[in-house]
Amino acid sequence: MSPTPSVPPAPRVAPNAGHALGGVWRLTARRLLAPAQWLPVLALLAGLAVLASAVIRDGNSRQYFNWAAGFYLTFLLPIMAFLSSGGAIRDDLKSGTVDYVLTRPVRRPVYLVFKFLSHLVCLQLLCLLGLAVMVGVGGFRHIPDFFPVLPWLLLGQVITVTAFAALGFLCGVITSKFLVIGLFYGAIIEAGVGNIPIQLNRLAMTHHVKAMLEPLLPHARAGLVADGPLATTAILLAYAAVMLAAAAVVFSLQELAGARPAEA
Amino acid sequence: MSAIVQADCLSRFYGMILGLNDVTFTVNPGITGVVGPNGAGKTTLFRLLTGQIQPSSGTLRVFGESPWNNPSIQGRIAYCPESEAVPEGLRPLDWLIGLGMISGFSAAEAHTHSREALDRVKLLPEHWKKPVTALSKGMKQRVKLAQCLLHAPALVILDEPMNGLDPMGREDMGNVLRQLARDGTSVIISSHILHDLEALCGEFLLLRWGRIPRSNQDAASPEARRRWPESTTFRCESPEQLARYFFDRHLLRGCEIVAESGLLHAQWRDAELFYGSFHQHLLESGVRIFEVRSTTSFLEKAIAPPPLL
Repeated sequence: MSPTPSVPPAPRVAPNAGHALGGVWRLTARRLLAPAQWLPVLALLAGLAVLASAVIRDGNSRQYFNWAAGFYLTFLLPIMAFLSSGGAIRDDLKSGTVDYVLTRPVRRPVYLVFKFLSHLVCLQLLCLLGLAVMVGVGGFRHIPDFFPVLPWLLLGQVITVTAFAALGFLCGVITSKFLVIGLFYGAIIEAGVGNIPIQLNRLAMTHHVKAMLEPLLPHARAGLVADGPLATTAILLAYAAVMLAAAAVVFSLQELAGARPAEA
Repeated sequence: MSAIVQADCLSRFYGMILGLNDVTFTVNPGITGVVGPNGAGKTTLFRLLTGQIQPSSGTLRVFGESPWNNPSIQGRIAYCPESEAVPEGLRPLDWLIGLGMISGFSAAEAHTHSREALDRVKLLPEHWKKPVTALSKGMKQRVKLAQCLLHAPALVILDEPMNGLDPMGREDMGNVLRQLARDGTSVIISSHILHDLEALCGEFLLLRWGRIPRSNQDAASPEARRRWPESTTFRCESPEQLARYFFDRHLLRGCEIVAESGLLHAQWRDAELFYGSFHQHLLESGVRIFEVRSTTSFLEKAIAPPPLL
């Protein structure tokens, strides 16, 4: 028989947003930056190094910068950021996380933002390694005029990863088949609309990055209307904020684990 | 004594599938057992209590408030799910520190409370730095219980926490839960190990097919639990001689003898008549008795399916 209880104890702790962010960061970073994760990351970096070295010829800076802006920054990184972020939030919707984390006193939109920030920092750190590989390939292929452009490549990388991570979070919150939405989005908006020479192409996030980088690169192509680095950064961060806000709304209205009959 | 949980006409459906169907109940402070066969609606009830899903109809109040998406309630409860799914790549101490910080502790406080909690559930320190996924089922259960203790909640909800625990582990867990109750924390626990629940719980909530059948609930009432068991099993030197003794005194309604294992399953005409002179009967029978146990627990009786007509 149970003992007679006394007065229920007062909660030992009050919710604290700063500490909660620290907790989410700790859980995210320990998983994403764990030694077990290094093998696939290293394999990916090695693949990038081999591919870039094979495509770019010695001293051909036009080829190098076209590849950096046209493939690495606006194709490879968006895909990686989208897949990683969509997968991260889907992982958090599984019972192994939901039952322990989302039964604690943190509002769901706040949790989603904290999760996004934590994941984004880890992702940016990992992507810095990708940029380091690109720098290494530039050095290896003796590319001239390389270092003045490096800060712009870094800026392009940071805002691209941020925007596509937010898109990954939104799609991941909406459906477990976030990859399908991503494929449709990529094909229609980024690859389709983004390459049409009308104002509508500003819908494509990669278009902004290309337009920002193009005048800064040696051998710039004419025809792209650049907003300037500051405006481009503001636009992509605004895109990210809108997508994150939409993800937070969906996340807070959703029933999580146990919402389907099979889990009842 | 004010109720900590109050449900009125609470239902939860999943399309055409029934989770809980129009149940009304209260849960008082102390340790309450939730009992029922698989699919009875226990986990649905727990997910409603922890605010992960919403009722389809009716109302549910935990500490007087709706738990759906309500951090002020979530700060006062803790949940240990039945699922064995735990985050990959994390070690128990890291996991608990992270969860403690999400509850509101600073890193240093979370570290201290995590160590205390892991000590309290008797997980040996050499396991604290192994990945949670690499731990045995019983150790995982201890870690899952430890994460419930971090923030000293007022209500702990445990879904099948005894699964995978050996008898010593179950005893340890029972002791932790009794101590929680002594400290004023209420516990709602489900388990298929009914004898453990009987020893642990002051009140029971019996579920079947998403409902709380009145007859079942009555069968588990405190009055019913004070009644003597209607059947008893003896392991003894001579079950035939013991059966003859009981028959001669018109105590038996029926019996079954398993001679090779020395067992006598006895069903009493009037259980109180036998148990009232329990020692005298066993001494007078002259049979060496090794073990006496009630054949069915009151909970087993309470959740037994109704007889087919």
